[in-house]
Amino acid sequence: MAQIEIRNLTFRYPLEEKNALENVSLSVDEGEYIVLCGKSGCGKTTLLKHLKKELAPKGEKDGEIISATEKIGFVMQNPENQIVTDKVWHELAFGLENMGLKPKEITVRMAEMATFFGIEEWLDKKTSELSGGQKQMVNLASVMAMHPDVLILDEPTSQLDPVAAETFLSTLDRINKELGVTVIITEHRLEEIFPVADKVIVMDNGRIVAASSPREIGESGCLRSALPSAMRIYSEIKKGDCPITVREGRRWLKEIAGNKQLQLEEVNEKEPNDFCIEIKNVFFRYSKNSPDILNDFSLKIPRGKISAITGGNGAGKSTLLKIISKTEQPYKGKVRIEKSTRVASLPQDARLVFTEKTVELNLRKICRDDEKIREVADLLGIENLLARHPYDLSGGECQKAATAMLLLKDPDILLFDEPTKGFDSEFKEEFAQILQSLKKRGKTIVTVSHDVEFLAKNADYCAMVFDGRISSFAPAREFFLSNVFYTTSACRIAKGIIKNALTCEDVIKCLNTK
Amino acid sequence: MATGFKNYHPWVNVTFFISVIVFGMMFLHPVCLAVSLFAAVCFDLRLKGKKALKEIFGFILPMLVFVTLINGVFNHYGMTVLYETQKGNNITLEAYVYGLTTGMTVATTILWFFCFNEIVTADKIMYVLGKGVPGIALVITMSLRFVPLYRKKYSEIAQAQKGFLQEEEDKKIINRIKNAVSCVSILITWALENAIETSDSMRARNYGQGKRSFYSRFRFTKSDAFAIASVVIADVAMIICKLTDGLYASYNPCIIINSQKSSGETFLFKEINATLNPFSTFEIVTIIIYILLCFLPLIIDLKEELNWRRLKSET
Repeated sequence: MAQIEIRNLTFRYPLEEKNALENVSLSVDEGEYIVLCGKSGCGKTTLLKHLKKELAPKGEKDGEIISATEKIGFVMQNPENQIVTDKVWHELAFGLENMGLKPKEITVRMAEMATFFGIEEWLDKKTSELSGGQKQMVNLASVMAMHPDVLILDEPTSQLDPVAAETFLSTLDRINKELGVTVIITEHRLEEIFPVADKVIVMDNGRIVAASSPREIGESGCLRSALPSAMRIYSEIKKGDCPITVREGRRWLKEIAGNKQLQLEEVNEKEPNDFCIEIKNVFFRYSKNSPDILNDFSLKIPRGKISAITGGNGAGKSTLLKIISKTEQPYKGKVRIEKSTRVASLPQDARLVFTEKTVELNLRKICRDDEKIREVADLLGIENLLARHPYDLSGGECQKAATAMLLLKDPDILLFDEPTKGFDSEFKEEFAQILQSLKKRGKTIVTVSHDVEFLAKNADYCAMVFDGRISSFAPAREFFLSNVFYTTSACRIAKGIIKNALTCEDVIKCLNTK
Repeated sequence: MATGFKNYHPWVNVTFFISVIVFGMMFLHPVCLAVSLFAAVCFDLRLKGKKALKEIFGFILPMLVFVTLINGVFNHYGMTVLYETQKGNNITLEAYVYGLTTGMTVATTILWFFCFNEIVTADKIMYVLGKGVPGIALVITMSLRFVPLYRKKYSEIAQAQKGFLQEEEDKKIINRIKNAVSCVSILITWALENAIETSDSMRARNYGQGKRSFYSRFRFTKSDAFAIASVVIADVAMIICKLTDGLYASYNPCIIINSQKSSGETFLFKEINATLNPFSTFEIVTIIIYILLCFLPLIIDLKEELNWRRLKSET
């Protein structure tokens, strides 16, 4: 018998006209690793919450959910908000206290968890001192300490940087493989998760449109742009067996290409010569006794282009934006921005910029000109959101509304901090178009991002911050093509087989014209 | 990691501090005052080093002088008139002396509280409260998380607004207040929105279903038992002493130290109307016990330090 069985579940939120879930049937076997994917707003989270009865949303519900186990753990998206207490050890103990376990039992379980997750050293730390990835790991550990049979995760890595996300997902894989815990997860990072998943369920508009093994999903070609690179290339070529990982992708591509050395034309971005921001030998630290974040940092940002800043955690990327936008002052060095050039920056959490009750009031606060508001709203496609409260918007809508506010200020230089963090591929494409149309209008864009795939497609120039200064600065294509690790999956697949291929589209184009 | 007295069980810490603070206010006998004040000063110095010196000379000492002088100027009881003011008020010796005792009591209490702050960390308070009132303990631990979180978020919001709006620093107070208000309003919306998720996370981890147990990382060891027993024995001795009118002191209308005894020599200081009655054996024992009680943390720390030295030199 299945561990969880959903039969014809239909659900509607109060006051909504459309069903959030429509006739969903699903069975989950013990120990399965299930990935749930689909556009944001397709009902993934609603479905997951129904599986945990304490979190089940209220509304009109039809159909039944039969569960063989009550022990279900739930990990949510935001690492910060799930934490309840001030100390890591207390966080681990929190769920166990709620279960009414004896202190002795709690000690045993805590010891076990701390060792399994390798977090003994954090036990005495304050939860506020942890990084995002560490916080999410603590959240996972404190749920696992309650010994669930089923683990449900709602986009657990969307707020994490790539390295932390990878660590998190590999721990999750261990939990599934070593402990036999059933995992049901929604995720945007399919690249890492497809190789380990048993079953992929694709949802659209509250319905399940496909449910089968990852390979079959790749062969069926649904999901398209969200698929892992190897599968996306395959779905356009449709020859041989569908590859999933980079390794399989390389093997597959070699077979297709035969012995021929394929090549794409080199697209050379010109060396820039017109700069609008000049940062010269800047030193910066947050307080007198803290270490230098920027250390003899120099960078020139080309005018009218999209420049991307990448680099590890705490390398000083966000700090750099703060210095350009003059919210922080360097203690040494110069930042030269032409006079009459206006700079405006959008913070990582876009919700922090809204002060008024509706999107429209927020826009109007910046600019009284109706004509201009309409124009900007049109450009970003947010006309239908104007009357809504900013906090009722989805993440992507929120980002667009905040960008609209930014545009009303009519700045010449726009600064974005991780603008695609936590968004699905659909939104990323939309946002990319917005950036391109801004570029056409002659705006200079500087964005900090970890999102290699996004940058490879959209940035003109890329800079890597390391050890407080720029370690490399080059046209984006050149930058990523010359990297071995820090580059797109498509590039890793095609390396040595197709010259100058950076994105999936490059590879597809090359194979099609062959 | 904590060492010495700080490493002891919360109950030991708390009983100790309650004892010395209560006795510090109950026993106004000059010997007791001096003992407690001296112990508090020593312990504060041991805990904070140079910072304690700053506290003592920058705050405690001036306050002591201030309280003494104020009491002398504004109170006119007592038999020993030092001089008479133009308005006919008596400035008396007793008022000054009583001011000094009050000052010492207040100083001692404050110093003990300083030490309390260092020793009894939030974890320990939570433990002590949590045993009795688990709800309050949870509220405290959650607030301990919220306060730094909100503070950090506020500065993030302020920076976001600044970087976003790119307006020149406003000199006008009104506008700056307006800015701060809108930042606070964002913070509140943000906090409420996020609290929903926190409550979901709590419910997902079985909160509110059935009785909560209480977990703490403090273990009650043999030396904790020994320490707490010493404190309790000292407490009993001190209370008996108080009930039998031992270590008596009165400052109004004239100074009398110790109650009258049938044996022993009584000193009379006619010119200042003061009486010093003899100490009984029990009173002397009590004073020794009080000294041991007040210096307990220092004794424990010292013992530990000597132990380490010995271990180190042996190996």
